[in-house]
Amino acid sequence: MKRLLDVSLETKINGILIGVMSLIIISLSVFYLYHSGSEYYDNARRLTLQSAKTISFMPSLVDGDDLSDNEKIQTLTNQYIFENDIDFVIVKNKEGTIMSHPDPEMIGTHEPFSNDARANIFGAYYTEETDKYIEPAILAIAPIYAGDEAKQLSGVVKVGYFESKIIERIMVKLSQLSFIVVVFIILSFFISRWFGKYIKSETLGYEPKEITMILKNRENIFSALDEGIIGADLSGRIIYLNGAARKYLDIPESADWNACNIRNHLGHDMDSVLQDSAPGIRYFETQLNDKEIIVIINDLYIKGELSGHVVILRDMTEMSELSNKLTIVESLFDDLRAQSHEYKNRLHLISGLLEMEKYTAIREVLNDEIDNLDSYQNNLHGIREDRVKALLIAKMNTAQEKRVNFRVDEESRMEEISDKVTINALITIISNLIDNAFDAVAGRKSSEIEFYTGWFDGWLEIAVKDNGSGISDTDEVFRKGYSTKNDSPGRGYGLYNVNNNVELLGGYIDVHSREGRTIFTAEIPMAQERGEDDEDPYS
Amino acid sequence: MKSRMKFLSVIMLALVLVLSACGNGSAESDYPSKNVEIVAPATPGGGWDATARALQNVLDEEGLVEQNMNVVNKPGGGGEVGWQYLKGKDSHSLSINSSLVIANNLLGQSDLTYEDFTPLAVLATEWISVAVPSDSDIEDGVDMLERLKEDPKSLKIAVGPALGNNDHLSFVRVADEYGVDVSQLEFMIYESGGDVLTALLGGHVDVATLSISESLEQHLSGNLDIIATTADEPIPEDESIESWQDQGIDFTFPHWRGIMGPPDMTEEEIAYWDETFSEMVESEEWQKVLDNNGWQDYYMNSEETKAFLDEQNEMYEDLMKTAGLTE
Repeated sequence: MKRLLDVSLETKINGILIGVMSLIIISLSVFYLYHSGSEYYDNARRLTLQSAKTISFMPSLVDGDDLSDNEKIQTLTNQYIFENDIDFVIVKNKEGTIMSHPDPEMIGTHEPFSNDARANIFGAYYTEETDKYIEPAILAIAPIYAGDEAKQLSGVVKVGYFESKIIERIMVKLSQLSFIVVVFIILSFFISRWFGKYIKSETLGYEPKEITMILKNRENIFSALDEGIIGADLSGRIIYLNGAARKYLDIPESADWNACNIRNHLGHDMDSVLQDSAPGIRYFETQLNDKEIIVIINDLYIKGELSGHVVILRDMTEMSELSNKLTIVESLFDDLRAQSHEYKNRLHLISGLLEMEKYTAIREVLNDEIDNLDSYQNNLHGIREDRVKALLIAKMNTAQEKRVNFRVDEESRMEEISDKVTINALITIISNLIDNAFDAVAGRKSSEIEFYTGWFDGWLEIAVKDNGSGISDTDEVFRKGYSTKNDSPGRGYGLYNVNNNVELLGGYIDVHSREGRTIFTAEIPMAQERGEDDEDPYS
Repeated sequence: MKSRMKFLSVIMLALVLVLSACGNGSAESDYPSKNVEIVAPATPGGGWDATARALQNVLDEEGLVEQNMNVVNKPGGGGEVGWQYLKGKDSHSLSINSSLVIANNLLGQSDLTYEDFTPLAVLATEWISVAVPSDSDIEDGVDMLERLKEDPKSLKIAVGPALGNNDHLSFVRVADEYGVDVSQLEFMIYESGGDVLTALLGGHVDVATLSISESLEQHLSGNLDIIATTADEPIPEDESIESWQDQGIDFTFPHWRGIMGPPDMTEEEIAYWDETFSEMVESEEWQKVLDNNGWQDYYMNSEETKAFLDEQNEMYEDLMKTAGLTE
């Protein structure tokens, strides 16, 4: 059975359709044939019985109290056979002598009563099937009465109808029917062929098993992805959702996604993006479950008509962390390079002084260098966060190379920060603000940058002051792509990133630009640290 | 969909309960709820008609049936017309029947069989006699059978009104069992029992088979001799009349009359008539009817009647198929 079912879809459909159609056609035909067959038999019975009765009541059949002579009876029966659709008539008198018979030789011979006794004794009228005469026939038997005042049974008449005639008529019906049956089966063959092909075209030629496999594989692949994938129709109803998307949108396993609307989760941003921009691939950034997500929207077309959207959710949190680290490492690398360059200069200087044997000058240079190192240490004393410290040292070195006076305020304070997201964001903010200041003061004489960080009452303040070119439009600076230097593409992300990270931490940033001095001030709530500090203020 | 199906099935169930409750109630208390019709499948004056009218009188006078009862005559076809009529009626129509309800079908006279109806009771029977003229040299039944065995054509036998009736069947049967070639027997068929009697008394025939009620009077007055009866008990009017059993032939044959209803009567309706008829046959009025008509009490309730009819049917079938084929 299993092997029998293990055939292609087309074969299955063909088999079922042809099978069912043939079964119906054939069983209907058989039923019809059986029905008309038994009707033929019934008709033959009725006809023969009616004929037997009619003959038995013919007045000329009897002569007084007895049957007429043979010749008269034979004329009578022959005429009757000629006029009616019956095959033979046998007349027997009460003694069993045959008076009329299809076979003339039988006339006058004696035939004992057997099946016809019921008519001969009891006067019964009935039919039976017999093969006693010539060939199998339906035989009706009727008694013949004679006499006027007192009737007397004087013989029986038997009327026969050959079964072969019935069978012949059934055969005619059968051949007609079989023609129809064959035509219909051929028809059903073509219909099922067409239907099988149609189904196959609907499934793109795949077998159901293959389709299942493809679906399963797709499901597996999608669920293995870290990216969330959502299929939604135009109204926003979710038609597909992979595991990652479920996680990002916070839809529990048990929930039926068909009831969810993507607009409930990505509402406004998605609408505005869809309305604002031209069709094609669109994206925006958003935050879901404290994660930075890039949402990419692809249009979904079915038969050339827009039917929905495929939404891809890409978690940018790790990526931005990574890029932050990379930036820091890059800048450290730059700073190292700057430092080594600086030291090389100093070494050249010392070597030159040695050549000239100006030892006092050498001592001054060395003292200066040692002071410098001390001042780093002193100014950074209040900053307990090592990563920020390292960043600041690196920036100092860069500043020295760029001949910028970079100063860290002695009052700067920063506690250690354990949260990774926060520290990454902070590093991005600080690094970008300082870099921005470097850019602002580039090319000026006696350029100064001052960095300050303070820690008040659970709020972290970061201030970067420069005496650079100043900013005319303080609202525009945080826009993506804004740059004072419009000469190269790919710039202008620094302050945009700062703003994003400040918002990520729930703080705000301000910029003041007046009389050639620009101050960026970021205020960031340090909820965790404040919580720890204020947990028990009365202790 | 599912809930709709559930809803439907509940409704159906409720409907069934209500209907069945109604059915019980009405059958027990209300039946018969209108006039009862007794069909006599013969012309007024015949045996079936007499039975129907006697039944009507007794049930009415004894107050066994509260509703009015009417006798309806539907003559023709040896009962066929009346019984066809009954088949289409409800349970307030009953019909008198006899062995013809079985024999008609076997003789090819009717498509109806006794199984198309609801048997209610067998009420009475009379016995069948074989009579010879008083001057006949036939001594008794066995003597007659001996003669017929020797030459089946030696005696002319009168029967009426048709072959295949009880008078005829009982004679054929006893002759067949004795070894007579029944196919050669010379039966003269007369229009009625009266004509049979006339033919016998007039010497046109040697023997007649007819019911005792028809022959007894002439026997008592000495015009003819009853040489055998199909009875299983002595005839009260003349205990010297010998039955076949008395002559050493184990053979009885009741010419019974009964009553039946249309097809598919309920058990409650059947029970109602069982009770009614069993009370009726106990009544003195009914005894008088039996005496007046020369009938014997042969009461059987519906269940016994059903079994009796099955048995009779088998007997008739057997008789008609094997008679004359024993040699």
